[in-house]
Amino acid sequence: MTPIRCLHLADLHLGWRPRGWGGREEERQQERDGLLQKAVNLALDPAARIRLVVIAGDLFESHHPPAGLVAQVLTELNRLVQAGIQVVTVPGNHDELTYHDSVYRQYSREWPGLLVTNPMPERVGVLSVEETPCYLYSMAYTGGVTKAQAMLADFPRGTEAGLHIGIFHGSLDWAAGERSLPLSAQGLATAGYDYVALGHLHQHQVKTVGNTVLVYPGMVEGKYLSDPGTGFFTLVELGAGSPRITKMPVTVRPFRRLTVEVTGLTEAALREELEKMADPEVVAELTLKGVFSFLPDLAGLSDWLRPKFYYCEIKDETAFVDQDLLEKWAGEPTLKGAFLQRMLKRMAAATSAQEQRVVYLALAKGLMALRRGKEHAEG
Amino acid sequence: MRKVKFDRVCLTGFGPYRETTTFSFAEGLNVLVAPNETGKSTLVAGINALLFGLPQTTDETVFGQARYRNWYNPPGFEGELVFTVDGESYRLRRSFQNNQVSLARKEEGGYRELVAGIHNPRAQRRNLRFEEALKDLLGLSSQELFTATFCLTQPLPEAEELNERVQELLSGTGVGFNRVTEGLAKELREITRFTGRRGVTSRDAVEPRALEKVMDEIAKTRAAMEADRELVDRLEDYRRQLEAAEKQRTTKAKVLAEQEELLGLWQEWQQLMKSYEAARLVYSQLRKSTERAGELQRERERIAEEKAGYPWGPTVPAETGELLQQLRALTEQKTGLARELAALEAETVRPAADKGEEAGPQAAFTVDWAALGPGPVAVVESRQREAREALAVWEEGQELERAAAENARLRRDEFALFEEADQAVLAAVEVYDSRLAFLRSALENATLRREKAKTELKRLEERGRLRWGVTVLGAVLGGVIPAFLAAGPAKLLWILGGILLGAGLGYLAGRPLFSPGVLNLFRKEVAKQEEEVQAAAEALDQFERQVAPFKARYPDLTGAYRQWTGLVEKGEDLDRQYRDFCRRELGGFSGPAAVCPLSAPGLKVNPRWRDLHAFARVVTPGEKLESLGGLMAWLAAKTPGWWERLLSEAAVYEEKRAEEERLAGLRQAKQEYLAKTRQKAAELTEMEEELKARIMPLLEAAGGDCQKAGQLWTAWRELCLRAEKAENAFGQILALEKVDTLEELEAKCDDAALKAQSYYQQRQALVAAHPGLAPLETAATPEQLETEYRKRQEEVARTRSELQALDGEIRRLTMELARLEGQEPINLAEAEESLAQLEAERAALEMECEALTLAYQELTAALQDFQGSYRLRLAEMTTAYFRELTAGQERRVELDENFQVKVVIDGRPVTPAQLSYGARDQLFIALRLGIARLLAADLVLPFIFDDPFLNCDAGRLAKIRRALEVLAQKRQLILLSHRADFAAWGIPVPVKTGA
Repeated sequence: MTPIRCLHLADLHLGWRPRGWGGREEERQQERDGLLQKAVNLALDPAARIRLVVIAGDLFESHHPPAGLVAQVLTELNRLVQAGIQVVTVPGNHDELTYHDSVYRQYSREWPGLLVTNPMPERVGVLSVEETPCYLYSMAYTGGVTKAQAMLADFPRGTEAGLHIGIFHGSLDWAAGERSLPLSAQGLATAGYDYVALGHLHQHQVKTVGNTVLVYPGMVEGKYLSDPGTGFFTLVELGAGSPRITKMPVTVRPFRRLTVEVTGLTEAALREELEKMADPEVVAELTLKGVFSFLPDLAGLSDWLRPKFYYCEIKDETAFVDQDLLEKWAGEPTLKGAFLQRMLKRMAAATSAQEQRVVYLALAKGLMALRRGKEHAEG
Repeated sequence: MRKVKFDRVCLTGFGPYRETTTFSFAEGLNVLVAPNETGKSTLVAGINALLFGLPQTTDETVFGQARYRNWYNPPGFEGELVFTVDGESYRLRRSFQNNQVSLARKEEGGYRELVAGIHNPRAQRRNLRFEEALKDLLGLSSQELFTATFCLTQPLPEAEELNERVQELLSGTGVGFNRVTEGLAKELREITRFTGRRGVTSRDAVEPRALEKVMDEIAKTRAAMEADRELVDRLEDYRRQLEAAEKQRTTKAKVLAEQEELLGLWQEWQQLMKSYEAARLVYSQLRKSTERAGELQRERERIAEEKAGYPWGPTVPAETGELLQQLRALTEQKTGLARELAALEAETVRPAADKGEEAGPQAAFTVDWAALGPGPVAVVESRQREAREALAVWEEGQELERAAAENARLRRDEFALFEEADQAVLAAVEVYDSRLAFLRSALENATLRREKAKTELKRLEERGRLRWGVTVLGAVLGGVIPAFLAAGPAKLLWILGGILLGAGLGYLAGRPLFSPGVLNLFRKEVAKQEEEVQAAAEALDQFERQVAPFKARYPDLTGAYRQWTGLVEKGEDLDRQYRDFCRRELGGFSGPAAVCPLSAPGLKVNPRWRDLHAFARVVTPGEKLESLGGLMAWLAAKTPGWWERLLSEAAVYEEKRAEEERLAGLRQAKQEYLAKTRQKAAELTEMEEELKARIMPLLEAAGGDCQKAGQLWTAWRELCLRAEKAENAFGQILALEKVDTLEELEAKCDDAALKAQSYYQQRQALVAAHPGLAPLETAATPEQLETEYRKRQEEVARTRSELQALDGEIRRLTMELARLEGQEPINLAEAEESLAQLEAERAALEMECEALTLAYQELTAALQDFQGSYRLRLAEMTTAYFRELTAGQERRVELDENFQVKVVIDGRPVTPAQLSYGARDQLFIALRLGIARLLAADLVLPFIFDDPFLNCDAGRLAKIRRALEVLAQKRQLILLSHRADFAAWGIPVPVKTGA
């Protein structure tokens, strides 16, 4: 059997646009939407020897993407088809087929390659790739028709010689709701597919159950800071023996998770520290840890950081302001002292982390009000 | 109480002090006078930095290294503070570069280090030993507190600022209480509108804030997801239902088509069967008709042979039977008429003998009643009514004639002047009073204008004489002046010349003053007015002459004129009425009514006069009544008795005339009847002859015997009837079968046989083609067939109904699909992500709300705690300082719950605004001291005044100075200022530069 190289794509979420990225929303969207072109370019590279491209759901962010984007996608997929590369597209939960104005309903006739629309698992086609018959099994979740209240465990498989590939957009062994299409890994393994191309989870995952390899390629280009993307395409070589998974790095917007220890830093020192990390090309999540020795103005800090990164968010995981300092202030015969005495008592009496967090935040707010009031007065 | 005194401050590389600069301070009031921007405030910052540390910063705008590092390559970046606490000297050294500190106490001539190490004010790991040592010595360890309390850097507060400044000092951060809580409330209001129910504001806001907006968005997103999820999930269900319904419809339509086809075949079979039966019946009928027609044909031939025995038969008319009967009846009538004629002729001879007895109806009457027509009674009654009306009308006409005569007489006798006068005079008389008044008034006005013009002329003539006076005066003056001035022989000439010149000048001067042109004008005016007076008098005179005869005859001329015009109008009215009477009654006759002729040609008098005239000539033919007056006299003479008699006679005449007419009519009728009877007899004879002529062949065959002729006719008639019956039956058969001949009927019968056979063959072929129809051929009865057919019809109807129901369902599903597809559901996956983000946002906002509410509550409670703990103590201490500064024992400072300050002087409360500037400054200093005492417990720390008295006038400054002098007796004071006049307030601070 001649090995077949397959580009396994999923969760491209084309058309996604971030919110509140300081005016860079459209730029970021266009940047992300260029990912398919990168994938097609890779597939068309003779050196890659890719004969099959599988899109296992969520090609689009929405079921009704803008017409321009759809035209762009059709152009790219047609490039593959015209080059003799087989293309299989499975709708996901974001670009769900159910909607009457679903892109796959509207463009079903001209959709390049094989478009899966059946609501329950079945054989959706047989492709001859490198003279090897590839039997494809898949489904497109369709609200009201697909019976997926319980985890899907019964999958069809023919007995013909050749490759039997399952392509599903769902959550493996995780009942996250009907629309997440819960799939039983054991069920897929029992069916005996040679490869199961999955989509839905945004992290790259490879799982082997019995002789069956199940792969989530993950989302290549990130969306949120909590969903930063893998930064590589997933290539699979299918043939005799177990599938070989290869990660092919691709240039994407870098996401960084940066941690800053604030303990002992003055406000200026903290800014100096952050300045060192600045990179205008990076989407960053700045996690602040430790104990502040000053009352932090995170909103002001956030404004200050904005031009220093492509986009950044501050995550405050610091502990409370220095306890000794608080107690020292509490000893003052002033309103601040009286307030801190009360707040320290409250903090000591707090019974849960949430309550402690609220009391800490109240303490910080109170102290900030005392300080800001001065600023207002001076202003 | 322990007293702290700063002895010396050394700063190196700190701000403008590149070199080591030493400031030395003494007890009491120290004064450092230096120009602005030379480092006075830096000295204060240096003391702060030495005591509490200088934070490591890069921001030059805040208190820190970046701001105070000297950039001119200083020998170091450090400082030293030497201070005394209750006589013991301490030295504090600090490297500002690394916050290395050293605190030492002077012992036996040298300093012994008490605490050393790094003291970074922002460090996580603090130098507690140093801070505690410092607190032991100075009473406080907070730079903010020290700065706020002991360093006066702001101008002294104005009255309205004092309470705020006190609160700032007490807050610990330099912020007023209200600003703190307001700040929190404001922050909370930006997040939620429910600040009222959280106890932060008095009431909730109306507009939703960030939290409510997020919650609203969450609710909307959830609702949309809920609604759209169902919508989206139903869509495919409907699609599938539609697909199934359409499939079902296809199947059902196929079944229906089959059922309808079978039903059609049934119908076709039935139709063929019916057609066959019908054709068979037609054939059977035709066959019978053909047979019957043959029989009738033979019957006709037999009758024809019999008829040959009656050769006269065809020659007599068909109504011969009736003719024979008429003939018999005529014979009987002729006999009866002959008898009747004989009787009538006998009767008509007798009445002629009675004719002489009658003298006619008119014989016994005096009036020719016949002239009045058939009803003389009605005519007499009518004329009697007309006579009454005519007499009344006649009287009306007579009355008008009399009134007109009287009117004419009055006008002629009483108003002859008016009747004869011309129109111009009458017009003058008509307006006599008003014209007379007008003419008199015109005369009077003209006279007045003339008198006025005369008076003016007289005045102007007198002024004209003055001009001559001026001339004379000028001449006199002209003569007198040279008489006095001139001398010598020419004196007289001079006098003469002077007189002439003076006269000339006087004349010339008087000319413009008294112009002769004006005088001439007024003379012309007087002449003109005179003419107008004469014209007015003449007009009046002419008018009076014109009306003089009338005035002489009628003293009240206007009244007389009115009477005359009244008579004229009345006379005209009477004339008009009389003319109307003549036109109506006399046909326009213009003469006196009495002589109006009654029979003049062309005169159309009222018909009543002609009727009455004709009547009069009938009833009294002897009277000659030619005029209307005669007629009316004749009528007036007729009494009611005369009319009664006339009516009675007329009634008798009418009765007699009626009887005479009845008898004449009776005779006439008898004559006429006799003539008619004779004519009828002649007619009967004629008719008899005619009848006989018509049936002569029969009568001849019967030998002229009507009886025998009747028998022969009956036999012939029966034969004819038989022939006619056969003919009719034969014709009816042909007509019924729509043929003209027996041969055609036979051919038609053959066609019907063939047609029935054809239908039969078609049916057999249909059954052969559709074996399912075979049972029909052997079906028991047509009723069974009908029942079966109806069942199949019902099946088709049922299937059609089911198909319609399916169509309805398909339509419903299509509509439902269209409705669902017409909506734009949200993307559930996106919405879920969005919802998760919103929930996180909501949680964060809620936490922030909770925190802000808590902070607000705790700050409010802290304020109450603070009040409870410190308010009275602060008031007491401030009172003590205030009394000391003002030397007033009866003054007491009070603070209310909001730390609002007031002063009680001699038992009377006074607000700071009511105090003088000086007293207010003393109060503020006392408050600062009180607060300092509160903060620094039992320590007396130095006070630093950094140019706080900038805007004070001399009087105010004098009081401040006195206060400071008092204060300086117990506490070290450092006054920094750029004003040289402050130097005299205390001890100058020596400043030494260099190590």
